[in-house]
Amino acid sequence: MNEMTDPTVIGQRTPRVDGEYKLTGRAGYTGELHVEDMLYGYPVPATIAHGVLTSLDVDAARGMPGVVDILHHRRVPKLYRSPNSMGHGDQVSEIRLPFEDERIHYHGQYVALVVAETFDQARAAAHAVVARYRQEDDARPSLLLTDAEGDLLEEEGDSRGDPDAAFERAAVTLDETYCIEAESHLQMEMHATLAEWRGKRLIVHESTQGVVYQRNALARTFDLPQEDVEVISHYIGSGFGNKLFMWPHAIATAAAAQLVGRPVKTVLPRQQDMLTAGNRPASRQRIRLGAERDGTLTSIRHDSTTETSTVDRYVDSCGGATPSAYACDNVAISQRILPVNHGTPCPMRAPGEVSGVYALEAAIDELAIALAMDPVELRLHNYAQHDPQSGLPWSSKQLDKCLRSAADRFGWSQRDPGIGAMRDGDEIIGYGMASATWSAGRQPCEARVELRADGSVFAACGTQDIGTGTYTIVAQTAAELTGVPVERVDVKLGESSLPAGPLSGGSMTTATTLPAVAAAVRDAVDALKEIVTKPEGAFAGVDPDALQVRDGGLASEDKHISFAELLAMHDVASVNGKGQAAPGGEQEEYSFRSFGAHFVEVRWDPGISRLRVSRVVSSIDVGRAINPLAARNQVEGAIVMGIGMGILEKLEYDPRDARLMNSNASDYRVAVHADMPEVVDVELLDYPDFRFNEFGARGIGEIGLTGVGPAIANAVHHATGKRFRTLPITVDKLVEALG
Amino acid sequence: MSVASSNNNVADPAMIDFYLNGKRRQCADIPPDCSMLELLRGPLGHTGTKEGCASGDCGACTVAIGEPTADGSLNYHTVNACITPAHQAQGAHLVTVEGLSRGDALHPAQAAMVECHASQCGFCTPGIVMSLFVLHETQRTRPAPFTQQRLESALGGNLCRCTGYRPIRDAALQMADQPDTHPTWADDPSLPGAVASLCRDVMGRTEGASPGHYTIPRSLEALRELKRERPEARLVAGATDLWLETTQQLKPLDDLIDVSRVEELNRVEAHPEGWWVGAAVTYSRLAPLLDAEFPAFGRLLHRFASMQIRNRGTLGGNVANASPIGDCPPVLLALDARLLLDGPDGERDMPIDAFFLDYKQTALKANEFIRGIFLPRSEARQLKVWKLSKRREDDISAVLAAFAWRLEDGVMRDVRLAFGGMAAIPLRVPAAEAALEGQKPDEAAFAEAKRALRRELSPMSDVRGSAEYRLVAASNLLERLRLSLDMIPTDNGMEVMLDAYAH
Repeated sequence: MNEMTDPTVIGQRTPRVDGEYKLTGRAGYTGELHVEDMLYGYPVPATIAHGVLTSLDVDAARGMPGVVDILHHRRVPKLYRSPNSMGHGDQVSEIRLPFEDERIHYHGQYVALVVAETFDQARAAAHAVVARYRQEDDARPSLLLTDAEGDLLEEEGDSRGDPDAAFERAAVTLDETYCIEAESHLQMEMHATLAEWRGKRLIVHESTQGVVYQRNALARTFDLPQEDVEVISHYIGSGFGNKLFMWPHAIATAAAAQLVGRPVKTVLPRQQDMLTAGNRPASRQRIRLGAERDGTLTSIRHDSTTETSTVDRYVDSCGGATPSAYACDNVAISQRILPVNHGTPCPMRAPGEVSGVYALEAAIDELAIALAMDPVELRLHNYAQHDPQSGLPWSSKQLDKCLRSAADRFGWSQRDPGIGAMRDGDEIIGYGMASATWSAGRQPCEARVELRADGSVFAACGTQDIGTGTYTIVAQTAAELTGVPVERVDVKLGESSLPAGPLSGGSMTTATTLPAVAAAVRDAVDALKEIVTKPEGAFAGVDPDALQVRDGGLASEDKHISFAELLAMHDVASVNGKGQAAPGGEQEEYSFRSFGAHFVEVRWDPGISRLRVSRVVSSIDVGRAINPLAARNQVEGAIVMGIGMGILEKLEYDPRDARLMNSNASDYRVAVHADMPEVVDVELLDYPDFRFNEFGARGIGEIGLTGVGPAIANAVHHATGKRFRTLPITVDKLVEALG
Repeated sequence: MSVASSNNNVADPAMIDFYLNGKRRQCADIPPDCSMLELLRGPLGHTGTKEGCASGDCGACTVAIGEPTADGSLNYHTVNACITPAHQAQGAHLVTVEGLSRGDALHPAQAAMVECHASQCGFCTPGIVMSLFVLHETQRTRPAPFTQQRLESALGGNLCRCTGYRPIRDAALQMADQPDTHPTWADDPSLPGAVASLCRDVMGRTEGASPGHYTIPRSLEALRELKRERPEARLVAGATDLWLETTQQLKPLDDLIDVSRVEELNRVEAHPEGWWVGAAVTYSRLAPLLDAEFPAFGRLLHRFASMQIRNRGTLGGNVANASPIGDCPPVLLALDARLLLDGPDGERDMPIDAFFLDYKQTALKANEFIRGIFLPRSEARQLKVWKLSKRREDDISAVLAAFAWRLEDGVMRDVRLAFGGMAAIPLRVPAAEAALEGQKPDEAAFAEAKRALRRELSPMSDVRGSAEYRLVAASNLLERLRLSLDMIPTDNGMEVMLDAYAH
């Protein structure tokens, strides 16, 4: 492996290459696109959550100005369910096809799609479609409003040792249940599809985190050769997981375009986006811990239940991080899912693990109090020097340094552990902390690079930039390896016809894409070397291996010629390189995981039960940050999203009929500017993980969110003395518990 | 709908005639319920401005509207284009994200955002840039320090789900360090005059319009006449609530009378006994009076919606809307405000506590409108306003309490205890007031007042709070009042720490 030990562009604070497009309004998101003869789609959402569509009267709407067609369960082209396989890259978000039958499974399920000449006409006609329902009265509104256990998933369970026996023998035990309410991604850009048929070819513009997956899934759904489908996504207004896999609106839109023979664009209105395009499911997790008096953990059991819909089986695996978290001989995890009458849940930033880390890290805090130990000390006492689940060494683990560094910067040693012991005027100050963790994965990936006669470098990969900065780090990589300045690198992403790239998910994009781009750069450079070392070449007679890449050209001893000059001299427009990269044998030798620590200060005014997160100090180790500016901001953004999870965000389903009551940006509260803590101090440790890849980089999109929720809950306990075991901790709960 | 950019001066009531990024635009056949955002993204093809919610909550659609001022310049303010009627662009200068740069040179608001990495996915970015643009313009004309409160106010109406806001705040602070690049259109010294002239010119065009149109009267007399002809027409001022009917409930709004340009409804008049505030005066324009004369009310505005909403919303709209969770009606109830109702059959004056009849039902007759709100002056009166919401900024009240009283020889007089969020209408609680009237502010009197609250009020449970939460909170706010009376010297009764109570 070519370890990149002393980079000059990688690791630098490089401004985003797409910044100017976004700042001037020129970045073309799917909703902006317009093609000739295009129609507008507007879905008609079910107004009940559980029952049957008994009649659908579309006649009045069909006759309204501009209306071209209306799709529904009796008028829809032949569609096929996708095999829904991760392995074959055709996973979808909801396996049920739109308009399959009259059954209503959740509030907002599409009962029709109006297609009209203008957006206003489609919207007006959608309002005029008359649907009648027979509502059934046994709707299930939420996991947290029922005692139902759900279905046990054997394949999700794991264990080592004998945690039951160890728990029975333990000197100190804890047995508590932790819950998190369902959350909405509330990504700023709603889902959007523009579908166009050109003969038998289907071209779809989609705001997606996976152009290749959606291409494959559409091919299966419409029974087309994969080559006849193209999915394009150049700009994405974030996704946080709910744009990973295809949703029914995309199928409905492509079906409509097929039916009417014209392009159709559908942009989901915010309400429908929140109802039908994913959520983080509510979770209920029972944690049982056993420990010796000195704090040594002897038993960990983590039993989780999460919601799914009645039309698909989404699993939000909460316990994934638990077996590797602490050096404990006896550990077991289990996972259940419970169908509820919601739109199908889907991954949301750090899916599963962020919930699991909340439960485990809150429980560890409770155990620390029971043992009268400092919670940081308890964590260090049970520090896992190697991965206790796989038995393999960590490729690189710096959690101890994260804990100590963040504690120092936070001033943890100043903490008075007494409940409510720290005051500032009317406010009681609470300190809390928790560890953060996220698995480090990578996927196979291909890329293509061209060195061009105009002096520029072109790099292409069928992944996409969802806002995290993938365009920029691909440009940095090509710049690093060619010496051509970042501004002369053209990057093309977000097209399924490009060399197959990964989903933008699981914090894997950086570690997956950059090695493939690097391989493609080297391949292109080799192609150039071959040309220039031929007998008539500029470096005739020079051993290709002795030619160095330097400052945007090739060099041998004191002779340096730029790529542009070389290509011109040889009358070649460009040289091409292909690259491939995939995880390899290192996976058998090491465990790969990122770690970090969050320390949180809350301020609680008991007079009015107001709770604020006033300070967050974090240390995160993700190996090397390719772009420290972008990387640090991933963590800062995640922390503020974690404040939402801790004290604000909750999807509220009507307990009577499972209808979603707050499907808008007003009643679903995310953190706003004024909720930003006075201090957010994020440190990224710099320990390049070359066992993982030549760049030494693991991913950073998700880890920052893990641990924020429990750190807040632990701080609230320190301030108030009340252990809130359901997130979010809203003011009404504080009032109810504390007056 | 069609778009022309010629200067042909046709008196077509469905024509919107305005300047967009320095260029005159005329858009014909725009339906009454078209929003400014739909106009921009549709017929005008300006897709830089984004839709994130279509309910005025996220700020992705923020644009700047420049209106002519008396001194011959243009004064810019931010609005949420998604819930602003397209017809309100009439005679104004609309500035969008496409109109800020000067060729390749970015405006300081844009350059600072790039520099600070303040744009990740970029979808909230155009709105944030426009909020920063107006902040920058304001700073250019009226320099003042960027305090935390000012930045929260300028940016509080712009959600961002990626960055955690820190880089955006850094960009705001860093704008001043960027080269002061002006948009190309700012080179044209005649633009403010041209906008002012167009504004005068277009205003009269739509007064005679028939039902099915968007009508913009300029005078009280014209408004009366329109209400005589079209009593069923909906009135629109800031549209910050009304427009949700079309964007959220998909209902058509096809007959609208816009009161925002009626001269008589835009005045604030001082009288010896108090102030008459025209019903179409926006919160932003009202703020200086409230800050000076009713500081507790003024502080409420900091926690009242977002800057974009305060720039368009009106006191008259908040009253006429009669929402049980509107923020201003309880304050007006506590202040003994009066309303002047007007219409083709004449005007009438009424105390505000006779105005709210039942859920969204008011004493307004079909052909009447609110002309003004009278805020009585009282040197001795003390006022406290406390808003409880789940989020500190940009949120709807669960409970809003407004308490007014005066102390006379150690006893409370003229006690007014008003609440929002506690019933189907905003209301006073006379039984609780009676428990305090003429009493010393002691525990016994307040205990009786709190018992009265429990007896008289039966709030509902909804997403903003349970009935029990609301009762406990309302009662606790009375206790808060008692404790604050214990602590605060009586000559300092106007002191209100509203921001400490808003959550």
